[in-house]
Amino acid sequence: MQSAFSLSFSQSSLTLPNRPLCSSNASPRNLRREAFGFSPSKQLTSCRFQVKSGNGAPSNKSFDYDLVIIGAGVGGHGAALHAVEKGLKTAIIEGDVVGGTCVNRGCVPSKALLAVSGRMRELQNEHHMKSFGLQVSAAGYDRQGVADHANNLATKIRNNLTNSMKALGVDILTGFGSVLGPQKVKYGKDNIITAKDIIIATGSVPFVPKGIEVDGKTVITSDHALKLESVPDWIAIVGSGYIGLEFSDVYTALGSEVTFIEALDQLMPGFDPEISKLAQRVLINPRKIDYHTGVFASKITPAKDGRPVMIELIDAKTKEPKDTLEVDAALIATGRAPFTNGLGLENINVATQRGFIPVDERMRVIDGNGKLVPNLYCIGDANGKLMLAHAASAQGISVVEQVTGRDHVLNHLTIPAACFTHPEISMVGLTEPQAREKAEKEGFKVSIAKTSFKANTKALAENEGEGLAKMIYRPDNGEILGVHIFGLHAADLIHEASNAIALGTRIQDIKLAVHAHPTLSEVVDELFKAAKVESPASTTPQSVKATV
Amino acid sequence: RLTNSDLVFSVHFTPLNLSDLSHCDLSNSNNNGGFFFVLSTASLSNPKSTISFASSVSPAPIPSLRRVVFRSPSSRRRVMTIRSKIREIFMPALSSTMTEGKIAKLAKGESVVVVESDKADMDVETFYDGYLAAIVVGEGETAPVGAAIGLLAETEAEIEEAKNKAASKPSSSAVVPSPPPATSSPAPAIAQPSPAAAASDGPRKTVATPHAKKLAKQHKVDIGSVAGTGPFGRITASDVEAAAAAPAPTAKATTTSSPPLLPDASIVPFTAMQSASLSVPTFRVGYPVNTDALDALYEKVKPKGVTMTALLVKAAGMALAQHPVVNASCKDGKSFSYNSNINVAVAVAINGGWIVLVISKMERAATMAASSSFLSTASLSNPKSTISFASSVSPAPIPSLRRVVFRSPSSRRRVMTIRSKIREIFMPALSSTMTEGKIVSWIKTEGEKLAKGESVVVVESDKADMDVETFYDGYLAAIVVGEGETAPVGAAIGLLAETEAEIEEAKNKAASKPSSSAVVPSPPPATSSPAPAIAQPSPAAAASDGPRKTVATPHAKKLAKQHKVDIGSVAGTGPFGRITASDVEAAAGLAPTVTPPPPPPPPPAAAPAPTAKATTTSSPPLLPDASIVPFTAMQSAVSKNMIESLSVPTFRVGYPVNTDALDALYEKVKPKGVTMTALLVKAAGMALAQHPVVNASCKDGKSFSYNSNINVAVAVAINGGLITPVLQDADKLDLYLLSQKWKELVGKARSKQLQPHEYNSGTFTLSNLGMFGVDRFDAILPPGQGAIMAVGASKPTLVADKDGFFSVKNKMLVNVTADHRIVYGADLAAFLQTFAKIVENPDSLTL
Repeated sequence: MQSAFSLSFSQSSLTLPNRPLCSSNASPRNLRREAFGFSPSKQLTSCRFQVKSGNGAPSNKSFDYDLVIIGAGVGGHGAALHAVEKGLKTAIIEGDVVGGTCVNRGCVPSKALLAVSGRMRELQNEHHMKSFGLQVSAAGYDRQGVADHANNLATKIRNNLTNSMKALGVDILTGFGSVLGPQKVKYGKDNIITAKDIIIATGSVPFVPKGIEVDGKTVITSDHALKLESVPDWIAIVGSGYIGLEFSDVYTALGSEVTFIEALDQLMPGFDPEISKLAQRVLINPRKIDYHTGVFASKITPAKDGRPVMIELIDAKTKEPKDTLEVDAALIATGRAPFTNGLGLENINVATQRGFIPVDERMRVIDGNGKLVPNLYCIGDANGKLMLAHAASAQGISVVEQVTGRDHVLNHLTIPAACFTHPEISMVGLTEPQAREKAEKEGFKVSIAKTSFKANTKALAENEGEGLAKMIYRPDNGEILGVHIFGLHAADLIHEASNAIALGTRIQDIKLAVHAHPTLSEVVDELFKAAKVESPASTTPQSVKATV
Repeated sequence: RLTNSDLVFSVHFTPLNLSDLSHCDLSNSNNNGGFFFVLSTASLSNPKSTISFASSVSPAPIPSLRRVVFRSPSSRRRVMTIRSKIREIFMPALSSTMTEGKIAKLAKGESVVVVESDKADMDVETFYDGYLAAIVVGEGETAPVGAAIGLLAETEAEIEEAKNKAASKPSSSAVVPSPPPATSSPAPAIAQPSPAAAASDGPRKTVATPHAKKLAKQHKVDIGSVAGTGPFGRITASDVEAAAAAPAPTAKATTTSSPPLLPDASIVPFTAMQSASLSVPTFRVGYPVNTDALDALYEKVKPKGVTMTALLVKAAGMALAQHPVVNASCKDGKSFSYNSNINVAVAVAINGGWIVLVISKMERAATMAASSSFLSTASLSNPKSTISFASSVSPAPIPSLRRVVFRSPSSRRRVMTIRSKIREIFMPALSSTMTEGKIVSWIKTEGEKLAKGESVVVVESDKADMDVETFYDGYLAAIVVGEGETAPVGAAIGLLAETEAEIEEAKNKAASKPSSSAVVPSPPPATSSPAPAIAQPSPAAAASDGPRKTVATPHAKKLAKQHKVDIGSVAGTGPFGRITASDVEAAAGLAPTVTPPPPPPPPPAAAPAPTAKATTTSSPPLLPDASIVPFTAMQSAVSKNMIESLSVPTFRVGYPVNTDALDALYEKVKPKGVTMTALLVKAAGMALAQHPVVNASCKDGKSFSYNSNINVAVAVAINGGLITPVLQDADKLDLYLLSQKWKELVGKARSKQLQPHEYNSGTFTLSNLGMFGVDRFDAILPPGQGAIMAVGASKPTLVADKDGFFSVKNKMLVNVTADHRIVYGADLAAFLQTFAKIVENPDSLTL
């Protein structure tokens, strides 16, 4: 199925998926409907002490393994853990470092940088501090210290990830993996193993459009930026999606000025327009940021020979030269390209589409003739369905469910996404225009409920009243179509909505649930309560003991 | 008439800058000795010394009155080079209450000795490798905290030496309760009066805060040796930090003894101390004080044992009590603290060296008597000054977020006592970046009753539309700014009457103040700058290599838009010639912002007025405790500018100017509204026109620019700070216009409504403290200007003409501080000559 997000991605700068670095390590299991309520909540970082014998021997003696996963990123890791739980003998092949992009070059280190930038921003905001009655003298930072924090965090999470797999007995095979043929995988120089099922989870790498010369110093990708080897005075960020936004937050907090270069006509494509407008008011306008929209960076030359970084801009539509920028650095955040080269796909007659491995809604790989390749699956960024770490993990679990005999189709509309700016942006489901389009097609009515963080006690206590939560729903039956939040801890708040969507909970039911006061969660509660649903509550509300 | 009894004292903030002090401020020391007050608590001197000496409470006999000899710098240097190899082991303070300890046992190994304190027996360890060379205090004996109980030699060879040393200092070192730093102590070989200290207050209990204790432990600082500067003399974390950072007191104290007796000085931190002192931007203000009454009083109280020092210290203390800011200290450049105690240190010459004794708890020092007549004379304050500053205090309150702030329509003073019944509703600052707001709609109409908390008006800020609520019950009496109109933050947009009866009154009020508060002050008309009158070297032109593309950073562009600066006309000084935010700010006449988030534009600081803080004689906040006050944005800006000024090599040239003619002119034009300031500005402006180099500025140290306009900034003390309104084109505007303009500017400054270009575009600064009776002072050159003029009081002076006839003329001392990179001595001298000529023949001023 085509997810709601694919629409937003198709809007991104270079029509390439823009994989957020911001996705959390949230447990992927929240997508398993049957798991709700009884499955212990597990984080990627926690060890599990469960059926270790599960990874003892393959169920079918003719194979070395029941399941081999190529790529030990978050997707592969999620699949491996679930496979062991399901009693499959599992191996995971990693050619680089365990953890993949998310842990080593993505979500995780960027969260460390954002944690720093959030504090810097707060400490530098005299007005904000004053309104607390706090007096803080000039805040400063040590770049290396910040960089070390990010690096240490990545190392820690990587070790946690490795240990969690080792603890379960997952075989971690080192070397680049490739598909030799049906149910046969090669890794390293010439180690060949067989498996009943194979999952490709090789992820993605930063996408660099042609004409852009990346030198790793002044023209960089997120891979370099996360090492924070320098804080340029002025940095151009090509692409204003999640990655670009988050980095603009980091860089401006550390004192840089930022220029966005966006191919589309407006910044922050892919967000709900209302959220995007407010976000621009808060995240862009008051900061030392300017932008060029509707332009491509056709050529970027790193700083050399005493010249700054040169960026040639051409009109996105007419392709006519528009401007030349001279900046100190350029960050290429135009999205991510699948990492599928050298996978041996030709051995099984699979042709990639712009690098992505075509799959069906069950992540089964489709070959050049449009036929399903048996026993071969592809999850995560490599299939391009929804380039989020937790989506990859959810897809992996879905695949394991299928190979263990339970058909499962992942509903991508239940997968939340978040951007960890200050304040955060989060969303699940459809945007308002998407919902209206769908409503028109299918003939139902759409209503909008909105609430402001200014009405929330906890947010006001934090002096963070800036924010908006918005819910798109069907007034006839109370179905939640989408929720978008911009405000303090939005990334954490979205899950009540995403869970409700995943479980099919209707507004008229969930609005009776009790939220602790005063908490930010009341923002979402307000949304539910503000909705006007025609149908009555479907179930008798349980008597809930409220803690006040 | 200068007589021996004319005592000139000066307030000097840099005790280490001795050479300067001796020749500059103690000029008539040959007559009657020089005095300078080291205001110990104004740690503009040195934070460390302040701390340490605060503890040596010794209000008793002060030797060598009226003789201050300064140790030559060379001896200090020598002290620094000798490093001791023999260290003393001190009786440690094992508890906060311990004042002395008994040697329970002499131990071997890491623990050297077991000491019995008031609480427990404890092992005392050494922090140094070496040999226990000599035991000074034997087992079972008792020694006060801080006394040497043993000697530690670094090498075996030194053991003998140490033993001799131990023998030569019998019990004295064990008895003298000199507060030692952790590492070493001065050997107070000479008898000096300090022991008397503790006697007065009895044994002092050491009180340290939990954090201080933790820090002390962490940094291995003997808490007993730390002088507490906190409330009630308690030791705070910062005291410990200061003590841990540099045992400066040692250095100071050591100098009391003659140089050869300093084998055990560990004085390395001294340089740190010095440099600390030198990094403080200081200025000097002189004041002539008549001492006839003081001398008489002195004669009277002398038989009772009162010394002149005591009198002066008492006078200084009482003056400080009225001007706590002079008694405050700034340690980190970000905040300052009002010190709760007034501790006056007195420099005393002893055997070729000098020591600073501290007299603390001024108020309680019973030894001193002083007549009120003396005090009114000697006090730094004088009634006149306080009055004039009281009048200059009238800041408008800055409205805060979503709060409807009220302001009394009448005088400031009435706000305190009488509550206004008609309140103004201000344009609130709805965000930190909001400078003006648009009225979207008035929810209430005129005459409607308002309840506290009700929304009155919807305001559109740069971020969002927001309801503004009232915090008061009342009636919306008048709408000053209508829907769709825009008003700057803080401007009155409506009036709130408390009772219905007052609505009419409020309406009249609203009518009488038409646009003044509601209309956005329009951006300054671009000052056209005609070429200066005299031919002068061509202005340093920006060397441009062909038509260049304008490159401006995002922030620069935003600022340009905000301040309505044409970005194309701004010269870029950033990397690759790009236009940075500071370039735009410079072009807009703003001071560079301090930190990335733009705070209110700070003013450039000129000579700070010493009494700026004191609002009225009675009102200065006599803070019970030393309270740390973080700098306000303005103070931070001043601080930053002052620190920046240290990087500019300046020099000073003084010139006495005869003001008889000027005074006569002033009397004549005064009725026409001309102020003395305007006269001086006009004179300076005319002189500058003839000496463009003095009006030049050097910003990067590589080139300088002749400024086409002569904009004279004049330092004005306003509540909580200092601002320099600028009289533009001072040479061209006529006297009356200047006076009028000046009045306007001062009004704006007091209500904090000065536009950036009105306080930031100065090319030359004038600071006048003459009205306070200050006869001479020097000013700190504000960054970006070539020179600043410090004007003292005009006073009758005995003058001998060339024929030898004496006459009395009014003379004022003018002191110009200039950037020596661009202005040389002769330039300044010539400028001053011209200035003097203009002032002495002031007719040209009125032309």
